[in-house]
Amino acid sequence: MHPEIDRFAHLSSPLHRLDARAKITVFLVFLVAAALVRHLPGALLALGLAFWWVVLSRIPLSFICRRLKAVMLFLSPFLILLPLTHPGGWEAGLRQGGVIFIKGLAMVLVVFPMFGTTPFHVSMKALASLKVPERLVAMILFTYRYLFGFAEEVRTMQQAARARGFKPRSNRRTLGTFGNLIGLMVVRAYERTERIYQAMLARGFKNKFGTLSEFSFTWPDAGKSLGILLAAAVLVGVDRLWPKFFG
Amino acid sequence: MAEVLRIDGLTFAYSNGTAALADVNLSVREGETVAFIGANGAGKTTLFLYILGLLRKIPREVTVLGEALTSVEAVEAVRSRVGLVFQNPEDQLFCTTVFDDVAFGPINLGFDAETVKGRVTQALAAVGLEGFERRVPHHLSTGEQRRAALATIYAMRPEIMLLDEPTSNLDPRGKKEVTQLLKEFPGTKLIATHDYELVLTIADRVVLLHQGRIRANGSPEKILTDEALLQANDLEMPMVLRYFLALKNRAAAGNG
Repeated sequence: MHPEIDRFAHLSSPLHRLDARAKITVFLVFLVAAALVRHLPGALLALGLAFWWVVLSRIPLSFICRRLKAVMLFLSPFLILLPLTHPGGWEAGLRQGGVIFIKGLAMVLVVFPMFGTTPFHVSMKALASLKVPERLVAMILFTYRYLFGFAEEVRTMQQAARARGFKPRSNRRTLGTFGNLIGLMVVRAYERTERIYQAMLARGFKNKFGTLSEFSFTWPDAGKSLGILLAAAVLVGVDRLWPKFFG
Repeated sequence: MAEVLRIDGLTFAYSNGTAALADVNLSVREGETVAFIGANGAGKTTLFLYILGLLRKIPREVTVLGEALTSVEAVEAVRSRVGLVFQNPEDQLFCTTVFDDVAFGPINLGFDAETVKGRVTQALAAVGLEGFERRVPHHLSTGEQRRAALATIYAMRPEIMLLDEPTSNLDPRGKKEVTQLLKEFPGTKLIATHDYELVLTIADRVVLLHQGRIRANGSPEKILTDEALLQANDLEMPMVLRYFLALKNRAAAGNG
């Protein structure tokens, strides 16, 4: 199984049709706005908006939920630890933990319509056309391209070890075996990197990535972008004004 | 026919001291298909990488298409005229779509978007992968990956093609398809291979390498039927030829 984020990029939705450059830019603005949220109503609004865009994007919820498990695992300690350690008492801690948990979830949810509705390579081209340094884009692209390949190699090596009777235990030998495995992966990755670079040079690569730009920003794109930007502005406004009126 | 590749007295060792090529002298003529055979580690892949300046920045011993490779500029210029297909297509296909991979070379050659698209379409059609443009390379079967790798080079329209084990890891059908494709590709071809069927089908000449040295250079029939020569260089005669020769000898003995 390849857990690509762009598995459903072939679907059709208003977000799929939005210009990739505009999509990345406006969702990035929204992510910043969500990161600035400090109160529970703002966090809930961010989550609501993120959920709305996920529904709009038509990416199956089952696909997203499977990937959210790890995020939940990462965020849940905030909900548990903050009520116990917050200087303002458990209630303030729970509130703050809740805000972090909910806005964290909202931000991860936004990544799906942001990068899941465009083929990954097009998103990277969009980043390049947004003047993100070419080397950085190339690094992201290669990391994404080979992540699954290396994951498969790890799985194959694990299978080879198991086929020879290896059972992971909490002992030194297991640690040593996993250490060897990781070391071997690094060596293999380095060797493959060299071969890929040779393949690139052989095809005329001169340390500069060329792209065929295919983007066009239309009026509907402007409308959708404005909508997302407006949502970000409302989010910041609600979060800032809430304590004044209801705090 | 004009000489398109010349190598004079090439000796090369890797930085760890492993001797890879020793006193290699070679001449290839335009339109020739030359097969390089030899046991693993004989130096076939090293020779190909060396020709394109991928092991030493300036491969002074090499002259390609009349151009002596005595400067970095000359080496870079020659890479647009000589295509190399790597043994493992996973190394060759590093982009996230087949289109991007095939377009990578033509874009580096500086062609405009329309020309690049045209070349990609034509290259994919030539290898029978029409409609694969948006496919993810690492999701393709080994045979499809091999054909896509060929398309990445074909799109650059090189005058010389260097093919490293083009039929390895392919099933019989895949081998047949790739052999047919190579037969149809125009230009000069240098093929490093263990596949004798491929050699007998398309090679005009065979160069036998052993421990980095050229041990024999001649027609496929002459070299692949010389059992003593093959055995002395850690190779085996193809089974089909062995039977054919046995039958021939038996017939000759019967006639005698």
